[in-house]
Amino acid sequence: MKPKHILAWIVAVIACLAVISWLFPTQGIVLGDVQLRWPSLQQVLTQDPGPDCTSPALDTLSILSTPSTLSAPSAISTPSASLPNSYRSDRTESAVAYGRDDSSRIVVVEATPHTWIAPLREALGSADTTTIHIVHYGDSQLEGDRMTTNLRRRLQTRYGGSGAGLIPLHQTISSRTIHQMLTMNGKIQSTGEGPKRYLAYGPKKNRRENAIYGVMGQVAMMNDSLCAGSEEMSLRIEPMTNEKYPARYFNRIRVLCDGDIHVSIDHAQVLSSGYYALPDSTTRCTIQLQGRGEVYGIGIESDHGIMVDNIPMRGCAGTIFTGIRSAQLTDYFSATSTRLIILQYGGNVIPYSSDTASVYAYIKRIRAQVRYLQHCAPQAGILFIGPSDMLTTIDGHKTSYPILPVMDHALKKMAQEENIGYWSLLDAMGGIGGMLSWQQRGWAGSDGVHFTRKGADQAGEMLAQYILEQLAAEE
Amino acid sequence: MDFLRHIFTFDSDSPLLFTQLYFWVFFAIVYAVFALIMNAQHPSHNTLHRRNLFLMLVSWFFYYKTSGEFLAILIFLTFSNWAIAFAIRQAQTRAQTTLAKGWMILSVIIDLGFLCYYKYAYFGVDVFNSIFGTHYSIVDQIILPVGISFYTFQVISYTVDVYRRSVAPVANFLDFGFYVAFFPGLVAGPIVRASEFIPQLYKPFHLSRRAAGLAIFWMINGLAKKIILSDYLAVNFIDRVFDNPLLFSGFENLFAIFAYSLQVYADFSGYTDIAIGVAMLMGFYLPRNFDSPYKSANPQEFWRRWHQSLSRWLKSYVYIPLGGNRTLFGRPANRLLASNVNSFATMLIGGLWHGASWNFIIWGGLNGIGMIVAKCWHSLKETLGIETFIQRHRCIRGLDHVLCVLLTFTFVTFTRLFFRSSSNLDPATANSQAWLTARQMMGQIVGAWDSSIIPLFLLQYGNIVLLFFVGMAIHWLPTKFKRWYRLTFASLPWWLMLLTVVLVIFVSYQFITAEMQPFIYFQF
Repeated sequence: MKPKHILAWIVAVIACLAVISWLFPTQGIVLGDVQLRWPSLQQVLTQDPGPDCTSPALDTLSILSTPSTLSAPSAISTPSASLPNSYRSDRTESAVAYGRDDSSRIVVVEATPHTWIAPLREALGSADTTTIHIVHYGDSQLEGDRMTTNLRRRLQTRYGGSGAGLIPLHQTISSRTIHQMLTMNGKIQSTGEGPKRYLAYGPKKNRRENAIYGVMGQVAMMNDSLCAGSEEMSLRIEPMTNEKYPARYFNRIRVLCDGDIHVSIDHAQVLSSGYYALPDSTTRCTIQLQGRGEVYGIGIESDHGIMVDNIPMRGCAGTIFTGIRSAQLTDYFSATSTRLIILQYGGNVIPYSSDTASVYAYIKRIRAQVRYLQHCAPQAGILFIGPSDMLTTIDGHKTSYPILPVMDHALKKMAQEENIGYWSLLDAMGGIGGMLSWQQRGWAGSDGVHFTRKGADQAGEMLAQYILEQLAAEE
Repeated sequence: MDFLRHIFTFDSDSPLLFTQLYFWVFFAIVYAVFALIMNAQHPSHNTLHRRNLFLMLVSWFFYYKTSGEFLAILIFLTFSNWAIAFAIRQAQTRAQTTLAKGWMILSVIIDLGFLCYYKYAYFGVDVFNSIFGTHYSIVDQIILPVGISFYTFQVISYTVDVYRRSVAPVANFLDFGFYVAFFPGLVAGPIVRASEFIPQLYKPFHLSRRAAGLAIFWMINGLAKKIILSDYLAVNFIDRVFDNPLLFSGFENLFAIFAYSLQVYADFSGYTDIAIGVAMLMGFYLPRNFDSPYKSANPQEFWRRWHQSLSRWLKSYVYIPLGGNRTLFGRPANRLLASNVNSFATMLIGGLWHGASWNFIIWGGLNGIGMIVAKCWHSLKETLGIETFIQRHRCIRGLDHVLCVLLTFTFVTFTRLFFRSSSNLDPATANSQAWLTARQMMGQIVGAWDSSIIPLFLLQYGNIVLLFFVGMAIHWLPTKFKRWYRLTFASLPWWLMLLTVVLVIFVSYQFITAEMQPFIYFQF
């Protein structure tokens, strides 16, 4: 065969494909559940990657300006900065740097400026003699002590304190800070084993009737009928890495439990019920538990300074707090001098929120949670962290969920009305399209939802910087 | 102007990939000029020179579009090896064997010097710091030139072959430049030895009707493998699990590891298929790089079927110089011992070739151990008479083969846990991140199996599971059947072949769910 014949064949293939591009409907062809797609000639010639800012699938601008649904609060600066000017990643480069270089630039909305940070600021004066807690609740973005690690490290370095904060009795997801090894009746428990647990979040099969879950929203049962014979447990705690960060050292242990459980820690002195003092600062410790009852968590603390508790709840939208007995929350927040509660939720409802009605329903439920926590911890401020940028596939192209700016805006409004702080993770990432940029930098996973370890560090760093700046501003 | 600049300048965000329209337009234009050159009524020596010069220049342009200014390294290595080969031959002609050897060593040092600097500087400094407790660091970020591992090995093979007198030095620099830079296999192989390719430079163009059909088959087969099997599985499932193993149950982690085995095969063999097809359309034959590797019944067979050009290279230039099955550390030794130690060392080097991180070395080491264990097991079976018993009964023989294939596939898959975990990572953090990922995945598989999630998984990821099993089923089709449908396609009338190709492209496009994914082996 001669090359010219092959060339003719190649040209014929290209021509056929061009004809299909010319004839194929731009909106595709729907066959049952399948939508057939083919790029138009214009898309091919201009290398257009897909939907642009001019045609977002949901007209967010019009939704935001519709008073009957979610009216824009007067105190809030125009949300145009966070609206989808582009779905392309290149535009977000400068925005990411903008937030990273100075996170205080990120829009924060408050009715009374700085009220949420005031309790923490006031308590810092006594941080060198007493302990102050910050409780960081969130969804799977926090799993493994991600994001919280940098926040804790920065605050403990600046204001003193050590220890990793609250941990569950059994580590089902490994943490990057603390390694736990639980032994039940002499047998080491893997992450899939361990005592029977009840969870306030996740699948309903894990719920319990009496709503007693503790401050972490989870409870581990000792000598439960489902794990008969588990009378003796031994929990070994040690740091995950050799890195010299404050969280690896501790000299106080707080065991949150109920029932007939005897706790023993070598050389420890009992300070109060469930609260133990170690003779010296250490990085390793073994806690022996014996008896029957419920364990809500173990606090790894120091005798002064700041403690930051990392409490991830996979799949949770943050609407579960009202399902936890208020007495337990109040007791913990009060006993530990909790001065700041951080709530980081919203991401898990984004894929299921297609319109403003669903956003409104979520805001209503989250508002109830905020009020409930304000009731349980009147001495603490609350900071709400909205959802990150998240990607979905529209017409075969990765784009941000069109509802995200609406949710972010609605959460800001709720925060203002409830007198709590709001930190927009969406803005911190560079706004809509930021996730693409984070993916390119290796800061976000390929699912377009979760951060990688690097990304979690980055987000945690920005959050820490923001809180430190707010504290410094007050000082 | 911007349009022209975009076409002719290097943009790291849009390299020339076989899966992009831009590449195929590039190829169509190249082929048009190629056809014009070869259209002479009476092709002469000059016609072939013009063709070779043209293809070398477009190959350099292709490399520039893929790797920018690193083209200078390619040209430098081409020139140094070409010149040193002549020096070697001249020294040999004058019976100066020591000088010839010196030239050969110098050439290898230059080639490996570039490779080591760009690929192993981070790793070397890291190891040095660990041993001596120092804190040296690489000041500037080192970007790995695309394909450097492939063309470095190619030029080393040329110089060593010249030294061994198994190939004559190429007289014309342009011809040699064409051999080194020929664009279909430049960035991810196959690694073509000079003796296999250089004679083709001087042969007139000849392509039979069936060969043309086969070339088209390889191209379209590679595209479908890459887009449908590799990218779709990766984007929609595998990468998600490897990015955050703790978000998935043990079952999902296990499935992701197996799916990655299919992905990496479809990705790499897809690239090779396209390279072979593109080269064949221009009348050049590249060696096959894969022979249904997951049909292997033991790790040795696997390495004979997987990345064959690298395996052959390692055998010729590492395993045999190390002593093969005859000597150990330069001294005569027991055949089995020498063979095992040398093949283990070769596998370690093969692992290191893939990437500068402990995980790749572990991956290579595991494969080496697997080969030794399989060999020992085979010897033991023969000694105990089990092998004779198995061979005597047809049914048991078949069952034994199936079990061996599944076992080998599982073994290879699990070694890939270290391979995948190290891939796509910044060299500075590769080790720690890869260990973390591998540990988390194994932790989930062992400790968080959660069978209750399987029905939900099948519901949510039904298309992924289906695709995986379809892909494996095609892979395990009998070789004869595969040859039959390849030849049937190649013999189709042109119009029917055209319609088939258009249909496959159309279907493949439906599987594109994200931006084009680079080929996995581009990073090596």
